[in-house]
Amino acid sequence: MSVIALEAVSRWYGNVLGLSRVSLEFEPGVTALLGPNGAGKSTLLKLVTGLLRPSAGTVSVLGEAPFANPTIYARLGLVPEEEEFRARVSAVDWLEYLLRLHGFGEADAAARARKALSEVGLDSAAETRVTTFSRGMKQRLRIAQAVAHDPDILVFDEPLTGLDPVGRRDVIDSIRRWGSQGKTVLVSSHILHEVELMTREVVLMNAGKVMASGNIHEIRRLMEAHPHRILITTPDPKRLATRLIDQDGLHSISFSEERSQVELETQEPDRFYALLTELVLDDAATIHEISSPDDNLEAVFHYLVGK
Amino acid sequence: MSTSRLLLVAQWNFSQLLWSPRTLAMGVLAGTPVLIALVYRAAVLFEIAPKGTDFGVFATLTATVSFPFVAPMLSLFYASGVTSDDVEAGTMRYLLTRPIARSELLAGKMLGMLVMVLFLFLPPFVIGFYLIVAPSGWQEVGTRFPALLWDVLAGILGLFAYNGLFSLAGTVLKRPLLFGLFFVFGWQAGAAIVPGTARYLTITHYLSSLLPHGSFQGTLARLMGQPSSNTEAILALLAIGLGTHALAIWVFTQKEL
Repeated sequence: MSVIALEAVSRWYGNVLGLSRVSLEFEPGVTALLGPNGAGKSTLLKLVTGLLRPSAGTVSVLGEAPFANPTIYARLGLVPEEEEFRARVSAVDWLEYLLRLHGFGEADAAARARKALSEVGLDSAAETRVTTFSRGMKQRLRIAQAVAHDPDILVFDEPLTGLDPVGRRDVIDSIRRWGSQGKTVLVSSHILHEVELMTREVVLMNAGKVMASGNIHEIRRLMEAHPHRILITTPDPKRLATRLIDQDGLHSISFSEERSQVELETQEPDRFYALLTELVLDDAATIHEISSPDDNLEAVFHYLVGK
Repeated sequence: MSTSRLLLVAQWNFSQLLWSPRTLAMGVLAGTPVLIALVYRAAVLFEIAPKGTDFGVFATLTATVSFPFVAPMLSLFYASGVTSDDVEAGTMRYLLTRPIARSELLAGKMLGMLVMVLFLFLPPFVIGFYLIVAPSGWQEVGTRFPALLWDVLAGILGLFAYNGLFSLAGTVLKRPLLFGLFFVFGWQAGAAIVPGTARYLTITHYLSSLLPHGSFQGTLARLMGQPSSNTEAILALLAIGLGTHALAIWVFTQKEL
């Protein structure tokens, strides 16, 4: 049984379709939800966290329907999308209150609140009123409240919003750590290169539908309509291009003496890399660098979503 | 339902409300009976106003200011925000994703609000009584004390009913304040003077019926029809309070926020 499972889930907002027959399963580890605004990422996260009910289909978290289900919430932490936080309380008081709602005693709640604030770098601001916090500090507090009770499932809606570069790095590191600890972590984001630092497991969404899901490289490999671009930097690009031109499986090949580069397109990158290795060994050709500029999340996202 | 968590929510909610700007404004409203009592005492002292029956002045104050105006306004401005306060403060989603049943969460919040409203309403009401009646002598205070207790009981029941109604409005409607203002100043005021059974659909009818010394609306109600008996009025206020609170909880448990 998957930790989180959605089966043919649709969600309507009046006449507007927010999510259309989505079926997904999430296991422990980090999975990123990617898509432009209106793709359905937040709707999916709200369904998983039981803030919304599906119009059709079923959502199950730890085998139970999550809507308003306290059993699920004992094991779930949510960082909601950024919104104003105007509670007139100190950070530590707020966290203590939330932890006490989890059933922790006064002393335990206080200790856990301090620890969570320390983990997100807010220990010096623990007694400060949240209303005076900067955007980044509020985002750190959102993360602290989600992890303070040590949940098994973590759901982050745009967790990097408002954070400075150091904060982003810290959060990315933490998300990877939680994933490697066996927690099930769902992250929605539109900052593709930062998502790539968190995980290779992605769900690409657009217009309420899942365009693709799985390992990003696997998804890329399956995209036959878009051959892989490979750039090879070599001191003699003409010679290498001549050697490659007869090979099967190449869609196109070009070279630039100026940039010392050969650029080619292939549907079978793995086969090509094996071939290249043989060529290098046979010809003693010198290769300085090999790169595949469209074997990444941004390219896959662009090809699938067209944005 | 876990009593300890319900009380935790109530306590938190009360402490949040206690130090809010709203309570500052509502404190002024709640202090109206004290202010009027002081003005009355000053007027009597400087012989600007003729000295009437002190308890009669208190009764008029109760019937025209405290019950028909202060009590519903206090309830309206607190209870109508029972869910919107947290939505506007950006704290609702954090609360909804805690392992506490929604029914406990809302019941705790409503309890905190009721305590807040009673905390604001009752002390000035009692102080107003002493300011007005005490100069007539402690024997008069002793004589009128049971009436004060009865008024306090009626006030608690009235606030319970108003809080339930406005909590329900706050849970169901997008603009509960408008509904509340219409209910208090439109529907209740109108229904009290309209012949027929419309007055039974107001809280003020039952509240007026409980006042031992009669009230402005109660007097009019007597002209248009009989007030309800004490038992009927108490049961009606309890039923309104319990029913509306329960309905508000049910709506909240079903609602997507």
